Amino acid sequence: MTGSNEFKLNQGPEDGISAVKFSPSTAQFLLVSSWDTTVRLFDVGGNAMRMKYQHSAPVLDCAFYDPTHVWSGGLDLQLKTHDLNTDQETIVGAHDAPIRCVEYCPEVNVMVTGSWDRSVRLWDPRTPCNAGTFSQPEKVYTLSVAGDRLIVGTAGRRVLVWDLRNMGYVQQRRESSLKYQTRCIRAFPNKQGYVLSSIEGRVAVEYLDPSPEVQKKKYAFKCHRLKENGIEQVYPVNAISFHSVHNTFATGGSDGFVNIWDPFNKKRLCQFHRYPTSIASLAFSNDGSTLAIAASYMHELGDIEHPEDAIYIRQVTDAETKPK
Amino acid sequence: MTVCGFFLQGRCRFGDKCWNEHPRDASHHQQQPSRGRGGGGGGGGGGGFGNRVWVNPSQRTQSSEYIQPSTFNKQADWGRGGSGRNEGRNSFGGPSGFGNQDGGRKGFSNSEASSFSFSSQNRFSTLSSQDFEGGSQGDDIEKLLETIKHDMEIWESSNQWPFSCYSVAKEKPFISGFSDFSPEELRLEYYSGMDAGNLQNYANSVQQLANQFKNRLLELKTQSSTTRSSLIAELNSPKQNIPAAGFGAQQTSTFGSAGFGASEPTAGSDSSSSFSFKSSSEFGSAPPGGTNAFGSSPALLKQPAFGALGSTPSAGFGSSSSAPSAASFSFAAPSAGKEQPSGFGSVQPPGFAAPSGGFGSSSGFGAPSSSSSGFGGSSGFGGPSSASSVSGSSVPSANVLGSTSTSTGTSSAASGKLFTPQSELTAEELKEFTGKRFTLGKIPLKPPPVELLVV
Repeated sequence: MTGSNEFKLNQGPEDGISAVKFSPSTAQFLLVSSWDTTVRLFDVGGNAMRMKYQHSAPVLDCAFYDPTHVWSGGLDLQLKTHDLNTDQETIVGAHDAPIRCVEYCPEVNVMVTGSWDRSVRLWDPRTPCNAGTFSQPEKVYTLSVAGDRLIVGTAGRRVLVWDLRNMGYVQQRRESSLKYQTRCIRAFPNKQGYVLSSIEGRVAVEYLDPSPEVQKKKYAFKCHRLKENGIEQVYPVNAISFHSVHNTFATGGSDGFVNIWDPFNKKRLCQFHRYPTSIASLAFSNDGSTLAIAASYMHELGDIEHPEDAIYIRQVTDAETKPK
Repeated sequence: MTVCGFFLQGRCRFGDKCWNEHPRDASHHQQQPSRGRGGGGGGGGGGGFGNRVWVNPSQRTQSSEYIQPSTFNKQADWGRGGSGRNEGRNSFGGPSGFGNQDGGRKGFSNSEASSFSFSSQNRFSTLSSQDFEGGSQGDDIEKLLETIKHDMEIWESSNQWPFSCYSVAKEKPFISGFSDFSPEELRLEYYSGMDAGNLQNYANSVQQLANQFKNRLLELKTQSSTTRSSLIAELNSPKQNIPAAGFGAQQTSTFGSAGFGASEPTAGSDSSSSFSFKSSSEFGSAPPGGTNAFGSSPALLKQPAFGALGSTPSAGFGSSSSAPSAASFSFAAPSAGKEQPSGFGSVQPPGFAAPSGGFGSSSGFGAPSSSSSGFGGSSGFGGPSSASSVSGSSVPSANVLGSTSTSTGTSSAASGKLFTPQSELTAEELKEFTGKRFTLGKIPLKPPPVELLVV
């Protein structure tokens, strides 16, 4: 089932995986946050776990600030930062409700967290301390950083674009162009737009420039749907990750498939084999050579028997990721 | 005078100096020039209708023929462009529903297309859908209802995540009755249930939500007349909030902004959510500024403006929907309580002049707007101090407003009391009324007693 370009990580988390992120400087290190309340650092090359630290409750997201500092937050409401060299952890702050997303914005040098308490908070990574709280219309489900802009996807299908240098007001208030709940938003590496996925097996590609000519280019397509017994089963698209070089993106859904798409030619480039269970998170490494696939049951159908949660590391080729 | 034959052919060498008559309207050639003109700026407008000297018939016919293909191309491009866009979307296998609808509407509502409209009407039936779009609002609704039905069927059969909000088309508010939960939230509930050893609770609440969802789904699928009418009202009304939902976490909508609103979510959220739901349908059905107690001006009907009852969306106030109602409530208070709930209905930007009909004293509202300029519409709440008064009074006001809104949506029934008898006031309220000024956070919500009014 797994080819020679793909292997499974050892000593993976014992419960569901919520997020995987590669280190910004190297494809060697992978950070994994999990529902077993740990955050683990893996050495991908040697297929071994390097470090692990705990929260008091399941961790929903993690992010690298720089190659030696990681931040994570989750259901224990606390935002923690961990120094990988000294294995020291610090509690930076908290939200009023579980922290759903943690991201870093290199241009403004600020950590951003989004939470179900309907707020987005900025954190100064150097001190570290809170740099502002900004309320959103609804619970924050996902967010992504594009240059110096922040795109927040909330419940109620709302999408807000904030300018991180000027958080006094929302730069753009938009509605998701999909009819159902937003699952994930990721911004293009070229910062022109973002990709939005919903629970209904659909992905929309949208642009940030509000002028009508640019807005005309946006589109949506169906994916991650399977026809079983003649009825189409619709799966949520849980994860999106961009290839930093080619501007193509991979999507992972609860059907267990990973697809790679070319947004400019509107074509699918590649589909990998089916993984044993839902794809919870995807991450391309910085150089685009490796894709980390977290296959982990997401409890969509309640607590049932499910295949073991695992992380697969796959070396991707240009043929799979480059636009034709 | 004789009519100049050369002029008629378009080749009179003398032009104005010609001794023969040059008739002003060359009605023989009207077909082609008008088409040429309808063909737009391109093509030189039929070779210059006013140019009597140099345009010869061969040239003219040529030019109009020249124009014809170009207009043809342009219009065909719309058709092709429209369908081309659709095809672009179809390349992922299957129409993308939403995307198609958008593309269709956008393509056809292009301003250039409209300039072609009258000439294109006869020729290109694809573009006649532009008329269709513009004309029939009723059919649109029909289509939407059909789409809803169809979507519900798919939702049910496809094992799709049930706890999601749903909206049938862009710029339409989302359909009420669907609560929005992400899988992680459900899993959280499951885990906390497990920790507490109380999985049954979790199972029950999930079951409850699932039932709610199923019922709503069924309702929308088999659209009875009541559901249809409520749907139509919803679809016509401006954007609204997500309905509140279970798991003990209420979801009134707030508006993103710096600082203000984060602490508001639970304040009277039950009533406010039902209030907001009701009010939005009220907005939908009642004409703006009408006899309704909620007859706010049209500008306030839009949801972002909802929060902007006294503040611009950009400044935002991040308050839950109870806050604007509280805000207008506090309008009522400082104005020495001339009106009570009707105060809410009277929020009209220009100095808060007359509320709906029978509550007299428009001057009462002139007063607060001058005294606290923050209340004067778009300039925000005049600063954090007044904002805190809003928040201070938001909890009690939400309840009061909730009760007034749920009990009566109309002005006539809204308790209509101008003054409260002193016996009904609490000691604190009495103190406020007897004091020289209101203290922030303690502004009474009931109108002052008659006795204390000094006119």
